[in-house]
Amino acid sequence: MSNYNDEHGIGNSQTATPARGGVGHASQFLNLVSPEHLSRTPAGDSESQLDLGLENGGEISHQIAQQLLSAVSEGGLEFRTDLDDNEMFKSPQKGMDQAYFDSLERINKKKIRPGQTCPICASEFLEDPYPLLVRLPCHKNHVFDLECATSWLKEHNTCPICRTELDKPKKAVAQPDSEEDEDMAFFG
Amino acid sequence: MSTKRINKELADLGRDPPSSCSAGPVGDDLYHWQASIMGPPDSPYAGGVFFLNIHIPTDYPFKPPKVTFTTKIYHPNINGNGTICLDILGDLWSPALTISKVLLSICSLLTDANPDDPLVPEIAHIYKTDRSKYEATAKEWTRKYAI
Repeated sequence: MSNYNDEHGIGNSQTATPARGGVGHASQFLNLVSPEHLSRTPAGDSESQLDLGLENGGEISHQIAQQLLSAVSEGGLEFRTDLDDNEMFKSPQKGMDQAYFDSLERINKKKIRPGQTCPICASEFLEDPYPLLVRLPCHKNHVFDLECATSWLKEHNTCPICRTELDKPKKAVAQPDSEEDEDMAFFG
Repeated sequence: MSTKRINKELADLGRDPPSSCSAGPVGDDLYHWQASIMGPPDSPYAGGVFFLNIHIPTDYPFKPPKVTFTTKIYHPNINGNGTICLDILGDLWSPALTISKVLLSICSLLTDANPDDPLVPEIAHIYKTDRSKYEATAKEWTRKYAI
């Protein structure tokens, strides 16, 4: 049986930054921890302290981490599975981390065609006078609102358009030519 | 965000409707749609009109819509409750997919069933071992429930 760290992608990351996907799930379990432990942790700061506890065995949240581990091993996970198709528990290790989001190429709005929309929210990029846009490394046309891309990639490791696994080494450099939207033909 | 995106999809469906299906909200609830699919001509469902219920989650498009048949249909990947076994409605959902693309995928599923990943093993078995019997039953159910 795999251990807690494996199941939650903690320690998989090559960087020093904690895996945000894993932390997101771990913070769900705070609900399972008894209130007296929670009250020692200032509200709103609990997530970051949890990071420390799981990554470094830090002092304050060590106890909380122990509680989480026992909650998990006793099947505490089951309590929340009614939330949504168990999806977050099926593949909790798949999300990308903050370091990845920070590394994504930002796209200047001058490079955006009029009418071009975010494939996730379907809003026109240029409706926002100061759009925050990122390009995924799989294809030059795979541009998204930063917020939309991170919402998806926190829990998944694939490009929404071509399903390239973004945590695998890149196979080829994105083609610099072709202005066509042939990428959308994937789902056509 | 989901409201805006759903309204855009609705506008797109109105402007450029797919030939073999239709979809739209039930009453005022933007998160509950009804859809219909025409049985593909090259399938035993030809001539039938199949109705589906679509529940759109509030965190759409990050989570897939829940789509079920309300018309009875004899198919290896659709059970008696109308539940559909289709990868893009589960693990392979992508937020770049739309209700329209989901309905087109369901049309494809009616033409090309996937008996190796069955929801109803009995129908999948007949599909694999006695295709003409499967087609006859599917046609009969279409005539009974979808015409």
